[in-house]
Amino acid sequence: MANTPLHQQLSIMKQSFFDEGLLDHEQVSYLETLENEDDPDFIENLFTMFLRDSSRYIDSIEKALEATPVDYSVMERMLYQLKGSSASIGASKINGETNTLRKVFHDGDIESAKASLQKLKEEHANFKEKLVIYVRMLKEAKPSEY
Amino acid sequence: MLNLGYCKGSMSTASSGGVSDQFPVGLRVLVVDDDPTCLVILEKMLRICLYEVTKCNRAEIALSLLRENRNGYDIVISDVHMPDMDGFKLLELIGLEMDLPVIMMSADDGKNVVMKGVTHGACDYLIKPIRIEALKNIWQHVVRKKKNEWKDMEQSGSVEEGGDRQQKQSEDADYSSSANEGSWKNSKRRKDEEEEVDERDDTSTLKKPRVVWSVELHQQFVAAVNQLGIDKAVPKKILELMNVPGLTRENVASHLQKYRLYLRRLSGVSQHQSGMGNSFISTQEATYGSLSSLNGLDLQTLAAASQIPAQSLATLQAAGLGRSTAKPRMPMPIVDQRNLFSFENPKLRFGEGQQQHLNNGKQINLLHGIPTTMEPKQLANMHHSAQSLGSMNMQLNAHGDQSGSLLMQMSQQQSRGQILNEATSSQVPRLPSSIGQPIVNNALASGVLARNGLAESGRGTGFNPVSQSSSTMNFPLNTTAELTATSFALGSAPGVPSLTSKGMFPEEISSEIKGPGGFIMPSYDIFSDLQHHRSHDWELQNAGMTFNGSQQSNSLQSNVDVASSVLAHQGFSSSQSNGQGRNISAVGKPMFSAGDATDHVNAQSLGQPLNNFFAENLVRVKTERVPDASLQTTLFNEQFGQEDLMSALLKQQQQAGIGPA
Repeated sequence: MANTPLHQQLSIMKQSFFDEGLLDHEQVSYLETLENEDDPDFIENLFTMFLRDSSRYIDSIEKALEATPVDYSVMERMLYQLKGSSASIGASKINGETNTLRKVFHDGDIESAKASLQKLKEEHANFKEKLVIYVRMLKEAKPSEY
Repeated sequence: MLNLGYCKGSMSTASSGGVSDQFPVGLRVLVVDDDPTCLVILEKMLRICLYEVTKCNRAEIALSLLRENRNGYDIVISDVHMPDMDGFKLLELIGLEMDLPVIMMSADDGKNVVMKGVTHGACDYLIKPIRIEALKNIWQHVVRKKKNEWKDMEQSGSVEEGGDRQQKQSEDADYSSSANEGSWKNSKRRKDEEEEVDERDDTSTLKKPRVVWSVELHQQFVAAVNQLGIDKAVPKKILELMNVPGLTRENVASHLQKYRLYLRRLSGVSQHQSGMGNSFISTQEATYGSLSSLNGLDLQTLAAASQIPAQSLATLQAAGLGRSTAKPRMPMPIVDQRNLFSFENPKLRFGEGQQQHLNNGKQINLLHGIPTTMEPKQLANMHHSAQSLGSMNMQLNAHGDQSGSLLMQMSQQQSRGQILNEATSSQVPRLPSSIGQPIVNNALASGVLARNGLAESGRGTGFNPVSQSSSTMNFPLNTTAELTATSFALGSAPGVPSLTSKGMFPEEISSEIKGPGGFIMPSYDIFSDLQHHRSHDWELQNAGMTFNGSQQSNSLQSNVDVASSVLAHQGFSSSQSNGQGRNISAVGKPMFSAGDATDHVNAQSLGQPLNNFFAENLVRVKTERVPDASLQTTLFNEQFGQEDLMSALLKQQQQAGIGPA
């Protein structure tokens, strides 16, 4: 069990994710139990994938919402994709904002949906910024462990 | 580790279909989800459970994997919202083609969608984020299914022993018990009847020879069913007609069961859209047992034959006539029972209500529930021959997506919209003929709708009628254009055609529209020739669309009906001229323009394709239909005073040069 400064930093950062509600402690711990020595990059890969895909989903959502008429099918699909993936990795704030957007959208209020989307984008940008750093640290911490 | 866009499976496990000592270790699971994160997590969890996992991020790929190696997988887990194909559609296709248990999953935990999973035959529905605990016991679905199939086989297996009495028994059981998915009702009902059979269940055996329902086989099956008439299509006769050595009655029986469910779903799915009272499916199921003498014979026959709740039929009809539920009025006289498909559909009217949808769906399913991977050219063939109806279904489905759940699709995300494409990818509206039948509308609509939605086979973006517009119509407005190309009509149409060449009653239509795609029918068939009828299509669409939309549902309805009937005529002729399922595609378009719905006429055009569809397939339909259509329209007019619609439709016909045959 490595306890280098890097690892300590990782711990602190992870804890701050939890404290700020950006990541769900339970879900992340659960994912960590799935990781093992055969697949040490599991969590790192998940986060990397999420960062990439969530940006894509949000872009699609934005396009769909801006389109005239609104592209409902794409919206639905993207909303659930984002909801599913964010819930799966424990990205609670993103999941929450996506939920809000979904509700507003289903109510039919496009303008409010757009406003909600903006909020989601902000949360996502904030989360992404932090997670990118975290993933980088994870990568750095790895070699020293093995 | 990630195999995005690439699915590989290692079929190293033995005991395909059997139970090994280490069961469930080695259970072969196929996971389909286009979100990479979820796919990876699932794979990881399934591996921990010691299952053999194959990942897939595209439904199409999953289908081809399954088709290539039907016995290579034990269970499928699929996401609901996928870009290339709606999860429910995939679900139905798998059920029809491979009869594997399918578990649906999604972050969408809405009641409606979960119900949809039930009605479409999913053996379970998991909400994301998924935990390993939920996956540990999925093997039970595999065992359960095998048990039911075995039971089914045993029941009918007595045929070899010359058990006539058994035949009867098994036929009964066949109808009800073979398809595990979603037919809980049947199973329950049948429980009593099958009591003695149950005792013969041998769960430990779990061995059951699996028949691979290839496209050709399925085509033969559908042809046989159509030939016999859905109400008379009993496994024994179907088997005789098919004349396939080695095929047993049990095989046919269980396939028939699924087919019926598929059709039923098609009609029912359309109703369920955007969370609108999706009671359709449940309603259908619920009313399943209560056959009322709605239109009398037809309904009952239909109900009996295809296990469609008589009530739903009645409701549909009633709805169609006067929006009164359960009032068997205006039975669709036009029903072309003579048609190959002789779906009771005619009775089903679009009627308001989901129930109607269901009925329609049933009908439609019958026709196009056949998820076969028919090549486009196959579709073309279908288009022309009477049998094509059945094949069309197959084709449509085959196209890529076997719009098994056309209806579903429709309600699902529109993005799929390829249902039509599927069928028509090669030819564009192939089915039109079937779609043209207005009456079928109910069925067609649902079918069509489903088709549209389902046809997500990624072919082209045909039309996603289903575009889930949260507003009334589920069809995506944008996709209407796409519809034209899609084979929309085809797939779903099959079921519909039988209904009636006539247009559907306005009421029915409108209600359909409301729902998910059910309505779509009209749109796609009508325009047998997309190009020609494009304008028509749109109009119809609007008509249809408006239905859902709301407000003028009334007028829409009438429009639809009129349109249907008119379309029928037109469709018929158009299809003839086109000789392709074009009608269908055209139909699709109109239907979905949920947003645009405002043009009543469109609705009418929609009906046409349906008619065309039927007309084409049924050949005789033509002549018969026409008169019917007019009759119907007259009726409509009386009821709805939609004279203008009629004339508009007729005018369209003339303009299109289709002129009723």
